[in-house]
Amino acid sequence: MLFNSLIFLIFLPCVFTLYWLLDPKWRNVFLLGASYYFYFSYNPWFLLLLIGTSALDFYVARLISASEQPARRKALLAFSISCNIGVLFIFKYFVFFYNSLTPLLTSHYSLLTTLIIPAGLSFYTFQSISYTIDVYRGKYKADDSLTDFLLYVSFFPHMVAGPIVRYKSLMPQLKVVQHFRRIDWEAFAKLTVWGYFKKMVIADNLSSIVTPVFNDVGHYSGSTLLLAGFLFVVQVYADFSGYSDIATGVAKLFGIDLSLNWRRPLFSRSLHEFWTRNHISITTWFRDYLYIGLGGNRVSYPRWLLNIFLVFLISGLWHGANLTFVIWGAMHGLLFIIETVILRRFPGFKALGFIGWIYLMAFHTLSLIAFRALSVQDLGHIYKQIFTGFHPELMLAELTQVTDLFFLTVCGLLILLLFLKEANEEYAFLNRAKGFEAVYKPAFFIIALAGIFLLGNFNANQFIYFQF
Amino acid sequence: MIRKIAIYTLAFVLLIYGLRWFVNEGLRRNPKGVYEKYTRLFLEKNTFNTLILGSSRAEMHMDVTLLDSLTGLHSFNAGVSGGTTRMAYVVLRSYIRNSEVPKTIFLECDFHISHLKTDTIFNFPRYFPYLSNPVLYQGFEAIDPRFRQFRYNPLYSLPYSGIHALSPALHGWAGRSGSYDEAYQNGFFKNTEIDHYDHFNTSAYYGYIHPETRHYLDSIIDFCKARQCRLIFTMSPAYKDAQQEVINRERIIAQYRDIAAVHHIPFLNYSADSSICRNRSYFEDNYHMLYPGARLFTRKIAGDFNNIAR
Repeated sequence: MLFNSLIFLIFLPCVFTLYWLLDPKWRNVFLLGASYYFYFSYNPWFLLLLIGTSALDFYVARLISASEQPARRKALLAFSISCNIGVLFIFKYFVFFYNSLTPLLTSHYSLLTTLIIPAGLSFYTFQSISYTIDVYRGKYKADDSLTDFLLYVSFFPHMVAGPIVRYKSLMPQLKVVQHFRRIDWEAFAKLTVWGYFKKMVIADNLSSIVTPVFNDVGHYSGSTLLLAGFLFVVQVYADFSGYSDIATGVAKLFGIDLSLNWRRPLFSRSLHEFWTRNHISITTWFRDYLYIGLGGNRVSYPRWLLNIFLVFLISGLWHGANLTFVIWGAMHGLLFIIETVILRRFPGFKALGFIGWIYLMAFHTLSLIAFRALSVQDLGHIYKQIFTGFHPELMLAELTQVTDLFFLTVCGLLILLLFLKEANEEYAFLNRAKGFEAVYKPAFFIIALAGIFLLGNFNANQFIYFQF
Repeated sequence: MIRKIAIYTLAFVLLIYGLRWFVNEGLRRNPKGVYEKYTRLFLEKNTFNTLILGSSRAEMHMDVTLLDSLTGLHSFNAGVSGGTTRMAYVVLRSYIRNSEVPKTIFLECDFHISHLKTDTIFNFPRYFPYLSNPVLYQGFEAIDPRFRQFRYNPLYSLPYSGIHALSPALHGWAGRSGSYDEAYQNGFFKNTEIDHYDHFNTSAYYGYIHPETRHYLDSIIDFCKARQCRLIFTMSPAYKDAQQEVINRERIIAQYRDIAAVHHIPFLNYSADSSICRNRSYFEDNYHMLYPGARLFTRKIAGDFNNIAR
């Protein structure tokens, strides 16, 4: 079930109504059932996997919490992590490694290429792992309610594509009795309307330009490929942040606040700043459970830099079993190290605002081209074209082969709108205008809602990050 | 809070109805192109004495300007993309809602789709601006019940007309036509562009005249008899490979010929005309001719018509 599908528009009001009609003691059980139905609609069999891994983590965490012996606690933690990573490995990486290595040994390897990845596997697995590690670290005691814990992992708004919510942030909200009158309707309306607008109007329309270009890179000059890369930057941001906004908005209907996942990353002026704003829940997860686990910066200088590189490399691999993701991670790791070295040498160094933004956008575009390329061969071709076959004079003619000029103009205006709205959130230049809160802001969201119907893509395109 | 919600909801409803009106009115105001054709067909009062009915084959193959110059007729091409016989009947009834009954009707008989039942309307969002024509609305609603929603609920129709209707709507408001629109002349689509895809694939099948096709064929015949309107069956050329696609093509054509003979309807069959059908440069695909082919076919039809009229 997709947020942008008709069935979800039926599912949500039903769940909402029944949730608030129920006696509070049954609400979490009901919400768990609804969340499982939500996941069941993707693939019934993978629901068993979700229940299995989360139930396992629940019981292992209880054993860890109950044990005083460090060796036993460690062994239990290792068992839990191995199970979770094992599932991840089997579904996401086994085919990749199998297909990468087997041709060296045999030519019979095509049977496994069609293995389906359970939706949101990485997200709920990482959420589960974070809980077990935190219990092991003694941050809190293991939860004593299986229902509440299963709901913490599978709460439907965030289960499939995040944000990855920490136990300490979500569980207290699930434990208390929510009150209908405390629903933040305004936040719900703003988040969902803008989320749907970003997904269905901006991301999906840009997709109809980006996809044909990346599917046939041999037919385009470097300038068109670079522009398609930039459009993909906007597409992936609008798609994923749109999902997060809808998830956060929908959660508010049940009195739940999900953590902030995006803080206008496209306004960053360095890679360091970018990673404090972009996909915050996964970035902090890698920081807290991988980077710190590797020793963080409390190690020798070269080892510290290696830790940084490894974290980015693994985060690239987290996105999927494809060398292009690894290259994307390596690019980010290398530039992050360069920035780290410069900042260590010149602690007060700060790139000039606009130049810093251009630098970041240029790098982000080039690196996301690696993320989007269908193969390493395609990626090599794209970079070669960008640097040796730029030809901006061909761009318009090439783009009008993909779509018409009017559609390109509309997409350009939509990107401008996205940047203007975010710029206002960043710099608040419109907020001081008279009547901004009372008139312009509501008018903007009403127009955005109508804009979804006029300009939106209603073909229920899947969110990009579902595959991760 | 409730007051706020009521105001916002009202503003949204007004906006969404306003947007639909803006888009539909813009489409209706198109000075040329397919929307201008449909505006004339379904909303305006016309005095054409000849109407061409049928599918995209009729739309692309009967150059009415040429036909008029050769025959002295005053004709309009009412062929619609994806049109079946049932749709042709709905188009005819919708046309005469505002316009005079034509004296002559050319009906394109598509032997290759006569076995199809009309369970959907091809390119249905194109008809949204014209649903105020009650005959068109009732005819299409009987085929696709969603037309009730399309007519009254902009939340349902706007996503279907979508972003791609906005450009022609803006053209309409600006009183300008797009480059594609120039290809339409009195409803005839002058097909001069050939894309790089190969549309000449075939897969053989047995065809037949579906009872629905037969029923609406009879309805058109009855309509013409009742209104003293001369009906002429045409069957325009198909590329030679396509003639082998429908294995029992000859049998289907014979059935059309029989129906025509029973009702004394001239049957101008050029579906296998060797001067056209063997020349691939006349075709965009197996069933659709390019402009040079259409001109040649129209000349032949005009010659036949002159003979009939004599």
